[in-house]
Parts: sequence; C-alpha cells; structure tokens
Amino acid sequence: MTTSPHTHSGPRVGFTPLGGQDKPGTTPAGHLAAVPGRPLSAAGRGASRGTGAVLKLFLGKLFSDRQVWGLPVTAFAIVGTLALLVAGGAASFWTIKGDLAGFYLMLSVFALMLLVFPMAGLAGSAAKLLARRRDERLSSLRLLGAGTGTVRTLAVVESVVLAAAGLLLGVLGYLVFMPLVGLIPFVGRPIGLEGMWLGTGWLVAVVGALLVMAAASSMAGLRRIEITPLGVRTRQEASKVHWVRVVLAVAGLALAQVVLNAFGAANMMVLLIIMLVGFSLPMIALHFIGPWLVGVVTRQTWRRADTAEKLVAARNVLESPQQAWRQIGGLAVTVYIGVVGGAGMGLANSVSADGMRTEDLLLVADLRTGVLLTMLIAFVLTACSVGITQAAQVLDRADMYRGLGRLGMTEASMEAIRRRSVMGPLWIVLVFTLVAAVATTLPVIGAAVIFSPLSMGLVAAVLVLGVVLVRLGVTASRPTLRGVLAEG
Amino acid sequence: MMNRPSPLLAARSLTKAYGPTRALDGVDLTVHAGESVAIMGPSGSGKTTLMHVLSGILLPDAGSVLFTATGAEPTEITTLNEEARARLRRERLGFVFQDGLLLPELTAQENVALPLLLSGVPRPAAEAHAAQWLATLGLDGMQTRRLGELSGGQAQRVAIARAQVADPQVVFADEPTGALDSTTSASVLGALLDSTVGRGRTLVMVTHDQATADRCSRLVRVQDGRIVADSAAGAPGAAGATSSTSSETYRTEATR
Repeated sequence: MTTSPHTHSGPRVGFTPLGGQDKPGTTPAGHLAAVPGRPLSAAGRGASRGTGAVLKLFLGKLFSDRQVWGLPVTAFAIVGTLALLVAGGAASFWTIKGDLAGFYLMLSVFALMLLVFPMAGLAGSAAKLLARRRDERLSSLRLLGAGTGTVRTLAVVESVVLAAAGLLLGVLGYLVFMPLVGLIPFVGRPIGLEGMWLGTGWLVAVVGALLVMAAASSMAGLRRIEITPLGVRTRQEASKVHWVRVVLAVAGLALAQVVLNAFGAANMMVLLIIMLVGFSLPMIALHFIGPWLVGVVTRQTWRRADTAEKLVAARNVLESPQQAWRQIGGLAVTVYIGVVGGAGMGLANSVSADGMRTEDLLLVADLRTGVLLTMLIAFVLTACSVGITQAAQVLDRADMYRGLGRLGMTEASMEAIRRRSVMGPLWIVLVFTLVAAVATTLPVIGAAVIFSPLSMGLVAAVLVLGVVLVRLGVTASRPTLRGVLAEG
Repeated sequence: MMNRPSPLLAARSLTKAYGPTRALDGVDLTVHAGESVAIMGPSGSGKTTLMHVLSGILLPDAGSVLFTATGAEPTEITTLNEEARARLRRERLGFVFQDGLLLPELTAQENVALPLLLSGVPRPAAEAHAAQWLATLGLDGMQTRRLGELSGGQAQRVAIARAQVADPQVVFADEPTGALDSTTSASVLGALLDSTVGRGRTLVMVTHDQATADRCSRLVRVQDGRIVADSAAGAPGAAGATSSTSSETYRTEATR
C-alpha cells in the first residue's frame, strides 16, 4: 500500500519577520533616503512632475494594446454616431417654416428630452467601460507608490483621450449614416442631407458635451471604486433602494402638476419652458421610483427562483437595482409617451381625416412618425448601452466566468444568467409602463384599438422590435464571453 | 502485495503544447481512490495543465484519461465533448481555486448550492444540503453572509463546501491556500483534507508550498512537462508514474 492516511499536523512553515525600519543604504527605500537632499515624500512639485511623467509614459502606449482601447473606443464611436444623428434629426425641425414652426420646435425639444436618459445611460456605460479597463495598470501604479491623485488624473485623462478617439469615429459614423436617416419623411418630404447636417458649431458642441460627460462619468466611477495596490475593488455590499425615493417621486409629480396648472395659457416660449419643467419633474420622479420598483419585483423573483440561472440573475439585479434601472429605465417614459401618443395620433387620424387641412394631416402623420421614431431610437440607445455594459461586465469578471466554466457551468447557463439580468428588469419596466398607460388613458387606448387597430399594431410592432433589439444587445457581447472562456 | 481496486484516474501518454512550449510531454499518472496527491513543480512546469487535463478542463493534444467512479462505467474523459465534460465536472468532480472564485452577489449558502442547482436539484433541497456542508466546515450561522462579509479563510471554506456539495469522488485544488497566511492556511488545508480523504474521497492538489504538500499522502514532482519524481513510484498504482524521467523518489512526511 503506497498511500497512507493524511496527517493534519504537518510541519509548520516558519518565517523570519522582516520587521524593523529600513536602515539608510540597506534597502531600496533606504538607498533613496540616503541620497543627500532627496526626500522620500512625493508631495508638492515632485508629485506634479511624477504625474506628468506617468501621464506621458502611459498616454504614449495607450493605443498599443487593443484589449485596452478596442471596446471603449467602439463604445464611444456608437455614442457619437447616435448622439449626432439624433441631434441632427431634431435640429432639422428648427428650420421648418410656417404657422406650425413653433409647434415642431416644441416637439423636437420634447423628443430630445425623452432621449436624454437613454443617451445618458449609453454614454455612462461607455464611460464606465473606460474606467474599468485599466484596473491592472492602476493598481500596479499604486503598488509602485503612485499617489491617489496621480492614478485618478491618469484615469480621467486616459478616459478623455479614448473617448475623443471614439467620438472622432462617431463623427465619421454620423456622416456615413446621415443620408440613410435623411430619408425619413417629415412635413411631407424627406429630411434630406441638408436637414440632417448640424453645422460645425453644433457638431463641436455635441462632441464637446459628450467629452465632458466622459470625464465626469470617469471621475464619478472612480469614486465608486477603490484603487488599492492590491487591485481595484468595487463595492461588495448590495445597494439599498430606500422607500424615501417613492415619497420624493410623488412630491415631484405633485409639483409638476402645480407647474402645469399655474401656467395653463401662455405663448410658445413660455409653453416650452413649462414643458421642460413640467415633464422633467415626472421623468426625474420616475427615475426615483424605478430602482425601487425593480428591486421590489426582483426580490420576489429571487424568492421564487428554482434554477441556478434565475437565482444568480435575480441576485445580479438586486446587487444594484439602480444600475439595472440606469440601463433600461430610460425606456419607461419613452414607451409611455409612445403608446399613449401612438394611440392618440392613430385615433385623430382615423376620426377626423376627412375634415382636416393638408397641413394638419401632415402634422398628425409627423407626430405619429416622431413618436414611433423616438421610441425606436430609445430602444436602439438602450440596446447599445446593454451591449457595452454586458461586454464590460464580462471583462470585469473574466476570472469568475473562467472559474464557473471549470466548475462545470456551461456557456449556455452563463448566457441565460446575463440575458435574465437584462431582460428581467426590461419586462418590469415595460409591464409597469403599459399598465400605467392603460390606467391613465384607457378611453384613448381603448378607442384606438377599436377604431385604429393598424396604428396600435404599429406601436406594438415597435415595442416587439425594441425588445428584440435589447435582446440582441445582450447577444452582441457573447463573443466577449466566448473569448474570455477560450482563454482559460 | 495488496490487491487494489481499479484506479480512479489513469492518465496515459499525455501531451499538450502551447505553441512551441510543451506543457505536458508524455505524462503517465495513476491516482487511486482515497489518495491525496500533491503536484509540485516550478512555475511553467506543467503542473496546472496536468490538473486541468486530468479534470477535463483542457483536452490534451494526445493521450488518454480514464476516470472510473465507484459504481459507474469507466469514462474516457478525452473523448467527451465540451458539454459532457462540463457535466462531468459539475456532477462528479469538485474544484477549489486559489481565490475561491465565489460569486460576490450570492450568499455563502447560495454559492455552495450552485452546483446542485445547475444539476437540477430543487432549490430547498440544494440549500439545505449546502447549509449542512457549511456547518460541517465550521461556518454554521454564516449562510446568509456574502463574500465581502467573509474573511479569506472563511471564503475558502465556502469554496471547499461548494466543491464537496455534489459529493464528488475526487476534488481538484489549485493552490487552495496560496492566498492565505500560514495559520489560516493550515486550518483550511485541514478542512480540505478532512472533507475529502477523511471521507474516503480523493484529493489532487497543485501547490508551490512544501509544507502543504507534506500533508498529502503522495507527492508528484513535475518539471518541463514531465513527472520527474513520484513518492508512490514502484507501487502498483503508480504504474508508469516514473516512466517519463524518474530521477528521484520522495517519501513525504506523511508516509514516513
């Protein structure tokens, strides 16, 4: 018999403590201290010079590793393209002449407001991707003694440089897709190239705003993670979503109602301001309620989860309902307006088409196109945001995915977890929004279903297409998961 | 000479190359039930690759790995497809990694229950079994704690519980105490040995640490993709273990 029972009291590993302070000239730190006039502290001007040198060194090699720049630059290229196309489309409304010019202006501002949250979500995802991709280098720098300030400066500057590179590609994307988007008809004719062109000033302004957003998100992201010499740690505690959010949200809604009532009749400019304030408050209110709602519903899903995939997906969402909401919450208002507006426009078209002026008929058709288009753009933005966030999460947790693969979890199971983590909150948002739409405008939606089924069918088709797009957003990050699993 | 049952794992003529580097170069290794085998060697010697091939994580370029679980037909791991190997790892093998690789969003109990849930065990039963294993490993009352609320040693015990929960015949451990201090390391290693070989199961462990290896019943040294020493050399179960380039035979502390 060659084997024998193991012993539990094997020899202990002894070690000699390295305790005591460095003596001058005996250790690297001691050598530094021994240099006449060379203080060990890196504060003040020395630190600034150090930061400059580190920046120069790292920025010079920023584009040498595709693993570092590939995804963030792609993400910002998508952000840039979509933001410029949306801005270009909206700006085309500002050149419309005639009696309804002011109304079209108001509609374009309204559409932009609806797209602010999905756009911010997309830009935020791209920015977070930037912040996470440099983890190893950041922690290595800390290990080598770089101060928090140096590391943070490097993180933000790198983010801005990579974002700028992506946005440059985004400008190219805008130029390429302009003719295609320009085919969409408004006021009886296609928007056209001229309509889609923002002009150099606005183009620079939009790109500049996105750059500022990248820098701000990078700084905000760094506050949420702790860069230590041992690595970059993210918060381990699950985020709590307090019910106070709901109280604040209800207060916001009440205030919005007061604002709208107080300025019932006014000219177009005042109406525009009222609209901005009046609709901003409910939207902000919704973004207070949303995470709480996602948390409450997902907690039920977690309790009932009977498979590993459902359990892990629910836990993923509960880890940060705010993050789940940020990814898909932007759709809530857009879908609400899309359903209610789509029903209203369909009804108006079917009921009063005979007695309407051509201009009014065009307006109704434009409103319907605008509503559906805004809803579709919101889904496209969300789908891109989901794709980017999922790719970032896979890279972030590469070791974990490889480990799960070794334990015997199949790629299909991992995909199911990722899919449920995204689609679960999406369904919560859609069901909540549709119930809210039906509850608040049942007569309009009911009548539209009866008198204008085609319009409602179109709304439903856009919703289905939107869900498919978001689902594709998750699938788009599958090659990243495959790549990670193949490595190990 | 004592009659021994069929080996649990029988690897023959394993080769595996990464580009020009031969990570495994004609390795033969036989592991019997109840053994605790420490695989040692310098960095890049091929020890982790050997463990990954033995456990079906990686496929060799050539060679075979026959796995004969008690009461089951022998399985040639190298002929299984990815899906079947994943199932084998999930249901028949256990794994403990250096950094645990627990899911941070799950509680300790949910982490341990995960392999059972993946195999279709109903959640109440899976969680009850997980709770039992946590209690066995001294983590009673910590079921609802998450990774961030556990010490390194506790997290590694959770990983050990997860490796054991499906009652595998063999547990593979890759530097399971590598990230722990010496006191915690000794305690975690004790828990690992108790819960595997202490119950008649088998442990195959990759380690850099001689003290850790000394607590195993058998020591296999790997260098340049070959087994250069095996403390079980000459024993029936180790047939071929020294066929590569056996240069020395070790007797470990535990077998003296």
